[in-house]
Amino acid sequence: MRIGLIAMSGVRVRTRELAELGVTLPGFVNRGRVIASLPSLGLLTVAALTPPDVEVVYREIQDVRPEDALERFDLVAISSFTAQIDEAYALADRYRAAGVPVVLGGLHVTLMPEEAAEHADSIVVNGAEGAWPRLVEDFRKGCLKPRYEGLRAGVFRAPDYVVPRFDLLRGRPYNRITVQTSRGCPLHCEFCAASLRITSSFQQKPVELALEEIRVARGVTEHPFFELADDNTFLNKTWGKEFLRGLAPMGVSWFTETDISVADDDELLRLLAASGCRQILVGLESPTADGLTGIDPGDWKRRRCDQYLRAIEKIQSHGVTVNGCFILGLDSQTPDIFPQVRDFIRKSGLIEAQVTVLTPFPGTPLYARLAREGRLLQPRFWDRCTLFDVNFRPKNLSVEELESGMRWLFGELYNDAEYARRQRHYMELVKAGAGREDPRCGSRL
Amino acid sequence: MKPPTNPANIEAELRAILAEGCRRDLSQIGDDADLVRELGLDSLAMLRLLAEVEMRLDVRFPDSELSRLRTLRQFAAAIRSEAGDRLPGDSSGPSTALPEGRTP
Repeated sequence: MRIGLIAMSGVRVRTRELAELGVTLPGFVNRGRVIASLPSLGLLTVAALTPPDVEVVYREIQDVRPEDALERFDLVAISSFTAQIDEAYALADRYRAAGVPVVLGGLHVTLMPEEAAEHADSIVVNGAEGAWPRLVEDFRKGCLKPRYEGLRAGVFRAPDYVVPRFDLLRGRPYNRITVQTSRGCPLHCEFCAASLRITSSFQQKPVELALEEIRVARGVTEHPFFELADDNTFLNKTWGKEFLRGLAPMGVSWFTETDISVADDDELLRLLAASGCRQILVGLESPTADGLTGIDPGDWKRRRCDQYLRAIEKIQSHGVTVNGCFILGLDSQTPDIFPQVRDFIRKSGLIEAQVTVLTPFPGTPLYARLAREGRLLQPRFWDRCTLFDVNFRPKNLSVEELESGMRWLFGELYNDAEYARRQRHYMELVKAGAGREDPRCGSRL
Repeated sequence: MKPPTNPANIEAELRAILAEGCRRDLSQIGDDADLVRELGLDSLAMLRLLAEVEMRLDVRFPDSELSRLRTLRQFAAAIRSEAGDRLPGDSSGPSTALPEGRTP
């Protein structure tokens, strides 16, 4: 039996003016390119959950063209971001028309199961753990069920835990490899459409399992750069320090997402630098406390806002750069937000900044609230869930003000001179001694 | 920190700095080799390398060039252009196009 695991990869901004900006502002598209180059860790996990006597083939597809021939499989499993889900459905429809059964799974499918079921012989909701092995056995017996429920907890424990099939990435043109150390995040931000939506509570992988995955994965490509596929890696500082102590001797470079509280712990920062952490992505969301009201149910981010500048400086002084993320279109924001974000980024010395528009992904509390308030521009806009296209009516801005303000801000932040200024700032930090905790940096490379 | 003693040796000095940083034998890395591709350096590692070169050779690359410097030859050309008449025996002369805001 031969199973095709197909990851849809590649998200395109729909608003014409923004798409054109991407051509002229290199800094604007950098992170997008990186994200497009990341493998589908979910499907590598599915591959590992597949019985060893079954052949699995992993494919990444950017564009589905109707004239392209379909690769032959006995069963196809497709996973996709929301922005490409319609292309995934079209591909699924073609396979089913050709007589090949199709399984759909992933975050979007979990959040929109009825919709997905119209394009699949079977769907998998939640994690693949606890579902995929049963599905394959049922398929072999000719009794595939229309829906399988995977685990929402306990995914990192035997017998359901598996090491993803990183070996399937051999020969890939990209050196970025994803490894997951946790699923979920207790902050529960209203807009978040990440792994917290497929977990019942925060799930932390035991340190030794996380380290073993990195040991396995670093052999599949030359000069691997690891990206932890977590929503918030260092919630648990004790776990974090043990993980970093184990990671440091491996000599890898890596990136992750976490919250600003890493700056509270000097030992953690030293260990981060010593372990080869090059950058952490932090959801700052808004430069003012008012803008953060209600972002998360406990107003944790609002309470942290006045520490942002000091925390960024402290983290970066250890040689770990911060990629600060900001969201435009939050309810409290007025047209003043655009210069406020620009000024904050300049003042903070952030080495990288990622500015996106508030996006009501289907199945999130944000989508439900905006729908309730009659503020969605249209009920279904999945191909516009790109983080750059506006799909709702902001509270204190018009749609036009948000779109034009965003374009203005991108022009301010992502031009060559500003990019060079951030590069120079990083070099001066290095010269001042940032990152000396990294033992490889007698070197610094 | 001092400028290189001989402009003809800049590439060799750069190779030595890079080899020390990477802890690898770089004798096979050509002057025109793309360091990002050949050594797997990420964008931040390239900037750390540039910072190291600036400190060791007492030079300052133009900010506008930072993204474009990818090979030892490009590094060397930028250093020759920047250091100008501070390099003994160098006939290229001082740079006449210092970017705005640069420390003279």
